[in-house]
Amino acid sequence: MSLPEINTWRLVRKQHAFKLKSYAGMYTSLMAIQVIGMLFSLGGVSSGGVSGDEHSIEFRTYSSNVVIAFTFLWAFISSILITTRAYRNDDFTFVTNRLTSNLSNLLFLLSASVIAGITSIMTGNVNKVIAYFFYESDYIIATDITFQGLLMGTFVTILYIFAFAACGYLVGTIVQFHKLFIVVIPTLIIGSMFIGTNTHDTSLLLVWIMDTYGKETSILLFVLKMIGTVGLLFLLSITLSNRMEVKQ
Amino acid sequence: MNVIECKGLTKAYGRRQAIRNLSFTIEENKITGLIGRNGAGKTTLLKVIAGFFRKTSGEVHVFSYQPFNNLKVSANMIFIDDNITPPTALNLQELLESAASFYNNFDMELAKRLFDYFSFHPKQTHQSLSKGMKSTFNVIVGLAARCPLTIFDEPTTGMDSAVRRDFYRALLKDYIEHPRTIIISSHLLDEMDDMLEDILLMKEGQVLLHSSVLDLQEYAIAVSGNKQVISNWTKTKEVLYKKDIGVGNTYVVVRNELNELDKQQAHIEGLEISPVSIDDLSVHLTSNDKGGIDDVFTRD
Amino acid sequence: MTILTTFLPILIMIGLVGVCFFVIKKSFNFKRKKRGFGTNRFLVGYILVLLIATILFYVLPDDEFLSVPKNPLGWSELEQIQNNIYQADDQEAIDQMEELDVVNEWSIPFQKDELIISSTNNGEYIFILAEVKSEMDNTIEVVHYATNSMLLKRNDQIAYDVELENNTLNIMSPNPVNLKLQHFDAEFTTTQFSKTAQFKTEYFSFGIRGPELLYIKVPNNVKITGDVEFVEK
Repeated sequence: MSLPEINTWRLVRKQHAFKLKSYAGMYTSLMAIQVIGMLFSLGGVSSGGVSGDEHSIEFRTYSSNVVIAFTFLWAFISSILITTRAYRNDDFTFVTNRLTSNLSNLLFLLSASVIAGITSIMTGNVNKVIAYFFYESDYIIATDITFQGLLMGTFVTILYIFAFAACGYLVGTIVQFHKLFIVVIPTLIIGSMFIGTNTHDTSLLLVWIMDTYGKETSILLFVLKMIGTVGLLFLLSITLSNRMEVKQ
Repeated sequence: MNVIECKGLTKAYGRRQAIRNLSFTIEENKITGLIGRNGAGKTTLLKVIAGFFRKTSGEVHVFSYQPFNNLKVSANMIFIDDNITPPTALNLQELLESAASFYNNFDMELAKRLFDYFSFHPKQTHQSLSKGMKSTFNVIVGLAARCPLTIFDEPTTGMDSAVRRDFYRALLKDYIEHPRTIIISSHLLDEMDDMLEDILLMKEGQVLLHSSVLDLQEYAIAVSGNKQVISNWTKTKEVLYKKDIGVGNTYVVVRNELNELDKQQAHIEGLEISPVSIDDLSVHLTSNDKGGIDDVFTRD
Repeated sequence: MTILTTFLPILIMIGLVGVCFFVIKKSFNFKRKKRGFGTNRFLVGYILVLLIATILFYVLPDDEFLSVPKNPLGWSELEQIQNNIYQADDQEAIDQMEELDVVNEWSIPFQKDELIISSTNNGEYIFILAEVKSEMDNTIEVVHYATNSMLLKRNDQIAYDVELENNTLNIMSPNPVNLKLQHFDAEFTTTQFSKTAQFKTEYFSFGIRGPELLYIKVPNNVKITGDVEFVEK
């Protein structure tokens, strides 16, 4: 019996459209986490003072940094959540296989990262406007950013968020593969924090991540590294989940 | 043309084999009832066919493809059971639209008419429905999808009998207009027998019987009468079921291989012969060998 | 104690992650209420707040804002300026130092032949340098130099004042001020690749305006006493 050919890419796009609607919980949780981040940033993301002589300076810095960090966490946790059985089985309500399911998840996480990246950059403005109108200050110092700089910053934020999502997605997939990893993975992550260099008490893993991504100053190299990393993470997830059963 | 072919199909969870060495074929455009007790392996078999589970050994082909992880099979098959938990973010209307976007043959008009008939509200959410209403909504999707292979796993859970009868009628009418391969699993035949063409009886992970409903009606015969007489009379026959009724009387169901002589003899010895409904027959065949529930309470 | 300080940040982090996980999971499964009302209004409201805040932020009068200098001076540069001031031979050398700006100038008529310089120095990094001019023009000239490329140039609150009383030149330190500063920073994801000037507390390691100097020139017939260094001619 011959069946009509299925256009995989068209199906992935359909699933993506479906997920944009059906994973609406992602947007709610994004909002919740960003509001929490903004509350944390109300008094400034950092503050300090200098008093070398009779005069003293107090300053408070306002930016989206805290919200961005919270959004990283959101991306990581949400991606784990969509790999859980409830969401994975959602897919299988309708036409799918593991590959299209993973690809549409990838697309969805990318879309969600774009939304999260743009909104998280915007939250800084809320804190700045609040600070401008409600807090007393003698001077306001603004870091000058060009429009291109802002666009690039947003793009970089999106990439970071997407990378966190890819990490979460892999972790979630591994956990689905075997429940033992629920214990193993957190242990490894927390354990790695203690494996530090002798001179500094920072973890080797964090140092490596910071050096590889955080300290990269060439945007081109950064984008290449990110694409490579995210690609590898998703490839692993797809390979693992391709053998997984659903609807148990 | 066979839609489903299984040969020596086995699915094991660890050491336990949920289905063992199954072999059968299901032809195109037939309605097959998959009947068996709880734990007989019906759901496991259906999920292997649907491509959700990976087979352990043997062969399974759906539309001549291996179903596991197969997009073509998935696109031409719909699996309806009472564990469907659609995304909470979508209301019923949106769920129907989503289903329509995925299944090319989806008949939105039919879905709408059934939707209204069963008094659903488009803005309701799936999780706010009662168990019976959930099942009803699920079967509406299953019917309207018009998939070449439609699988209903215990579709009527929680439905009241009026809705259940409506569903069977709707299924039959739509099937006649748009013939397709349909499998309905249930632990009992109950009300379904006049709709089904074929019956696949399962017991302990194996196929007990696979035949048409017509054949099954002739498959066995019931005899009742004096216990002693019956036990003599049935010595040469295959007894499918046996139950004591009253004092010294027995009711047996035997394989219908009686010739005229047997019948005459039974008549002479005062035994009463009656047909067995396939409903009862399926219960007798799929029951376990530990006698009936009565035996639990009988202490000798 | 050391164990506690090692573990505490990690414990706090785990706690925070736990709280976030809880919040995300809860709101993830936020059940849509019947009849449409639900999270949608919150989401729309949230987006509106973000949009309004963004528009507001960009229409704020930014002439009130100070920018972070393009090439801010760090600790070592400031120290170098300090040394250069100490080693300056004359006003010409001071004027040639690009890092120094003239903040204020005074020209005070003076007829007497003895000048006492008195400063109420409160401990600022101000350096007072005096030069005896070659001519006899009956004028004391005072120039106040401060390090430029610092953030705060327009702070009139912290200006020195110079006042002549009989034959005493009083250098009055500004009243102690406590400045409150808001810094609207760019996100770390932006600054990683855009070469934006970064705001650092290091800029204030020499006080609010960096190394400062009062250069006093007196007519050649005047004898100076007081807390002051001389430029030798």
